[in-house]
Amino acid sequence: MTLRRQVPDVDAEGRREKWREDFPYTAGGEEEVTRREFVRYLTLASGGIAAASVGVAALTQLRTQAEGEPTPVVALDDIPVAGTYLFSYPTDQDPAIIIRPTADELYGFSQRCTHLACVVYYEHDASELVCPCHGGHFDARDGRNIAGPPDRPLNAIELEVRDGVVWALGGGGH
Amino acid sequence: MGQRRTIVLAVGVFVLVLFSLQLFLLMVGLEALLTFDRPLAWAAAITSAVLALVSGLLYRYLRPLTPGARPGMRDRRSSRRPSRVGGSR
Repeated sequence: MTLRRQVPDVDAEGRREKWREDFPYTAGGEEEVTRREFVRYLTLASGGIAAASVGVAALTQLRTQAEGEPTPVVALDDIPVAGTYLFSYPTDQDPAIIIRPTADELYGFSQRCTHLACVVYYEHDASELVCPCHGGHFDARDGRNIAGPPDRPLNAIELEVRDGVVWALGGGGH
Repeated sequence: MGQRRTIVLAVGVFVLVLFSLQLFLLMVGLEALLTFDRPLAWAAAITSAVLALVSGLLYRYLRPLTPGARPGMRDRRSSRRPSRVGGSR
């Protein structure tokens, strides 16, 4: 049984088609793909996509949530008022940010947007953390999602100042 | 023959729609991976697997319609009787 058929280069009366005279070359690729073959290829691809989805789910299951341990981050004097300090916490792969809106306030958050994990940045005038990818906005004081596609707040990092040094005590992981 | 072609075409379109849904579900799964949303990732994977199963069943439904797959069902092109040499009555 064969499902392929050759593209005819002669008309119904057996005369050679004009296009064949103009282009007298043949190749294996001239064979048509039948509807059934198309459905078969599509079904095979469908199985592949399903396998990939299961793989992604398994990968999600295997990823662990890092919580972090108490770590000294930076001297308090090195963080400018109305400025930020960028660091990595709880692992080197997790960008984090310390915000100092006023001299007496200090907030720490994971820099990963809870929408699609883009890195957020601080906007002092609006007192917000903004995601440049899809326009997510978070409150700079509590990390609450206030606008855009994110449906969860930013992961907060617990901070403490010990002898003039800012310590990250935990949190920040996804 | 026309009805058979229509069925194959309809199944093809249906499988194409299912395939598009699976692509969407793969994107959902990847987003769930990025946001550590395990229940959503598994829900997308299971739904995608079910859609693949439906696609497979539809293709299986097509196989009996394939010319030559059943002894009693032959392709129109191959069902012509060969002409007899010398003729007969």
